[in-house]
Amino acid sequence: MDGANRTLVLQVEDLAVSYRTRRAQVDAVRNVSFEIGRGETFGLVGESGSGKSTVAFAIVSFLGRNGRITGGRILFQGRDLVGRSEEELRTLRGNRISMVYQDPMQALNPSLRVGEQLSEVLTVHQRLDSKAAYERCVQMLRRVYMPDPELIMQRYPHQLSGGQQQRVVIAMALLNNPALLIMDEPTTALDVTVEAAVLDLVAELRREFDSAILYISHNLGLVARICHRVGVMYAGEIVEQAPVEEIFLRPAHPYTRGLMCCLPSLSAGKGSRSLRPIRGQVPSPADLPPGCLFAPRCDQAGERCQHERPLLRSLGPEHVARCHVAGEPEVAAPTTAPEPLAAPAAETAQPPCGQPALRIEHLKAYYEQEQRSVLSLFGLQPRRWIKAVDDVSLELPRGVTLGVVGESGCGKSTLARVIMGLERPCGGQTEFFGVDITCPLGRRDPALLKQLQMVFQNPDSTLNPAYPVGYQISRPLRRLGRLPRQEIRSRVEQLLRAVRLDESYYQRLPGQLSGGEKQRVAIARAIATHPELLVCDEPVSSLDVSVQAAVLNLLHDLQKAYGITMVFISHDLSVVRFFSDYVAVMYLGRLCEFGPADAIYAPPYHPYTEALLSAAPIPDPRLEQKRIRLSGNVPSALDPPGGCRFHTRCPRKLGEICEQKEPPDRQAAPGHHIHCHIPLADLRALEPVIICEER
Amino acid sequence: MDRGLPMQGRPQDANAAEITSRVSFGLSGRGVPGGLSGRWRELTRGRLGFLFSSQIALIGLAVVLAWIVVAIVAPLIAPYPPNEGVGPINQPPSAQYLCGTDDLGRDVLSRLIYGSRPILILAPLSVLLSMVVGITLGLAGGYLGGVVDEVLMRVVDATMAFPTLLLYMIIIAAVGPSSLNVVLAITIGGAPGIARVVRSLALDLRSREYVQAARLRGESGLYIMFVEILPNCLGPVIVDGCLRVGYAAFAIGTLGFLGLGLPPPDPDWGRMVAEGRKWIMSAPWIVLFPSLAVTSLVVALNMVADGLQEELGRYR
Repeated sequence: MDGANRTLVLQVEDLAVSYRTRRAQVDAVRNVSFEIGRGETFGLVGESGSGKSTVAFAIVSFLGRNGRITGGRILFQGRDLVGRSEEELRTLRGNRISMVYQDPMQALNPSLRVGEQLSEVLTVHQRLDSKAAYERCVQMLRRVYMPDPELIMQRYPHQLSGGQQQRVVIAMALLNNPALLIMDEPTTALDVTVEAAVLDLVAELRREFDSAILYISHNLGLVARICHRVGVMYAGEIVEQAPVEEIFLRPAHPYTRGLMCCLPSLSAGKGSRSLRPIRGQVPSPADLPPGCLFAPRCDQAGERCQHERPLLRSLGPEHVARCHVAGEPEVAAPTTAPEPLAAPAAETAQPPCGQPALRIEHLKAYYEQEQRSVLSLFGLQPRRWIKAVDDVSLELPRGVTLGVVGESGCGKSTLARVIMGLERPCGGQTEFFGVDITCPLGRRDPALLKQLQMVFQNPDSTLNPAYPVGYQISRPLRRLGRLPRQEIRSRVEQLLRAVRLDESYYQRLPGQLSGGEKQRVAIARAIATHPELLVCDEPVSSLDVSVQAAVLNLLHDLQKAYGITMVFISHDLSVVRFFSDYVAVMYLGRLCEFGPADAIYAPPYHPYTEALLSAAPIPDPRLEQKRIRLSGNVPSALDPPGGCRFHTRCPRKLGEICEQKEPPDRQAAPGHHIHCHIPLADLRALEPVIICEER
Repeated sequence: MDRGLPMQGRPQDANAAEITSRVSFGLSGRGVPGGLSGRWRELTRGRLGFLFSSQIALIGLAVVLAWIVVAIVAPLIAPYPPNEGVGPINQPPSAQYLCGTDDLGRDVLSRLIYGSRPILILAPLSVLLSMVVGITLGLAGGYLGGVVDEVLMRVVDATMAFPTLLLYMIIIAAVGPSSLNVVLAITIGGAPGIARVVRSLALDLRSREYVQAARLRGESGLYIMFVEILPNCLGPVIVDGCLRVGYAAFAIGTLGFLGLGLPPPDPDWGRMVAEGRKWIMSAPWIVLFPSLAVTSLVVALNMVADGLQEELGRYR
């Protein structure tokens, strides 16, 4: 990294890119400059709409028909790529730049075997004969730690898991021995445990191949783990750039600081601190503020920030920020106390106390696997079941939050849907304050429907695009509430205020709202009937971090004001930590561990919890994290492994007992259940996953 | 989370919101600012704005509107009564008979003008009816699924297995030719196609989270089908409907040509072609002008549909 022997691979200077839309020309990226040397990883972080992908596409001149580079230079190994013809680009760039995209399935041709696709790269670009190409490909697959490379070569992409697919794509990108590897959110579609393995791979490959990597991500935690230098993008500009430790220890730009404050931390439990969201939204590139782009959302902004666009200022060695006030001590933000939420109206009868709010006993939910053989047509084949939720039992007191975590396919969403009645269980019982709610939705009476509501994952499909916000919030009131007609409007406005939106939203259509606003409306709709139990299925996972923080705070406040019991499903361990009193860890339809949140995040751990924790990205380079990587894939739920379901991947597997016997339910402490054969004393002796260095 | 090209997506997202509000038939009312220019702006930017941003749709709409005007003011602009011989037979177009005369000495132009009336009333009416039937069947099949879907779709498939024209002929042969029965035939012929389209849309929409939210507050199946799902599949159905009005106009013409359309002597374009075909070598204008009329209407409706389609597709 020393200036002396540092060879620059990519230099981007004052890059500007604009897109032509039907209305106007939109300057998507302006004034972006950075450089990457050999063997370095440069991280580009920012929220959606910040222009980070556009930068990547500009480098490979793949901007689409309406995109154009309008200024600046892109030097690749010293030669400018801007303004060259397709032919010139090909010779300049050769096959020395490779790109890995977010979705591996889109980069692989589903109708060709993995082997054919990989060797094509070599036979076409390097004119190797097919035998030599095959050899090289097998070698490369081995280098990206793919088990059984010969077997993988024979498979079709859909026969591989997401992590394996992404590894094939990375192998393909590396086959040409690229000088520059561009990775655009390569792990966003993957589970944490797989993500951790892919990231390790990326870090290792950089060392081994000595190529330059441009790593694009929205996740500060990932960037902290693998990058040398970081550029933070906001509204099409790089607002701060510095070595990774600088950025995390001494963030100078208020936006960078804001992003850090938005992140829930794995090491801080519920209520220990509240998140500080960044207010407002990223300005549209067609309508930028006159002064500093961040000024409208900045707490530090002074008079000057409103009128004068700041230039990049140096704040230290290799540390630059585009801010007038950067480096000055942070002014304590005026903490505007949120408007106290109206207490629920007296119409809700207090449920009997003493009963657990939610009790689940031996709950099972199986789906029948559709079979396409002729035999099954005549009922000659045994029916096969996907065991989405298999024998889950737990109990939840009133007014607390249960966090449910696990990788995709572990059955956490099915669990939520069964509780709500959207899916019918095929065994076991769910009880709500002692009332059996195992029945399907059609047979629940309105008084019960009122008590159970749900917040969904996808902000774009949670609201009906055809109706204005006000109508959608009022519908549950009209249907389930006993409110006089003329009071409905004022009640809806009150709900809008409760989710921190003003009355002007009443008439708006969902298409006119941002993702975070849609999710707030969805929350307002869910709490309109004062539910006792609110199930949130990944409510923040498709939101940007700054918006995510605001929604989490909102849910937190609502719970405090209304005393709602919540089931909060997420794949993000830090979010669950921030939000939950109790945590359930699920794997392949089974409960691994269940207990109070603080107990889950400290030893004794279930080995799976331990692995999950050590895979979670932490946005703090000072924290040391134990490195446990799970091998293999999650087995199919059609045919789950016998004994302990986790034994196929467990790094602490004892031996035969794990394969043959169901793990016992051990109580590590009152209410803290661990389903594992390993004696509790041994589990207690485990080191904590996250070790905080001296601050 | 960040997906794909955010910067490219953003400005369009804002427009997407607008287009949804244009075509979604939402409940929001918008006040019209006073003054004629304000009203014009409202029209060009508002719900029908897509017509003004797409040249093709605009031309198509102009032609359709022109025919509608012609049909309305037919008695005022027709130079002669349509069903009387007003001159020598088989006269070529001249200053006196702009489109010539037919074999009974009737003025072709006047018959053409009056002939627009049945087509412009019956075609949209039959499409509207087939939409009502098709949407109901499609929603029921797509949302309820299971046995209901299976039965409905097999019936639909069976109907679609008949060649359309044959189906029309069977129906009309059974119930006799009249304008009402022409509508009935086209409704039965068109509904299965619409049902298929709506079913596939409903299948996709029923798993949306707003539908689940509706189920969670105990809404009835009818409410979910017609209030939650229907407005969101109307866009494609309306595009499809525009095309169908064009086909229906053709079908009415064809049935007229086969003598199964409207009873004589009132003119309709199809019958005019049918009657004139005997003279196609000696007096081609009798066939030419009604054919051109049918073609212009069908092509114009297709252009409107294309414009709509393009606009919807751009914001999908």
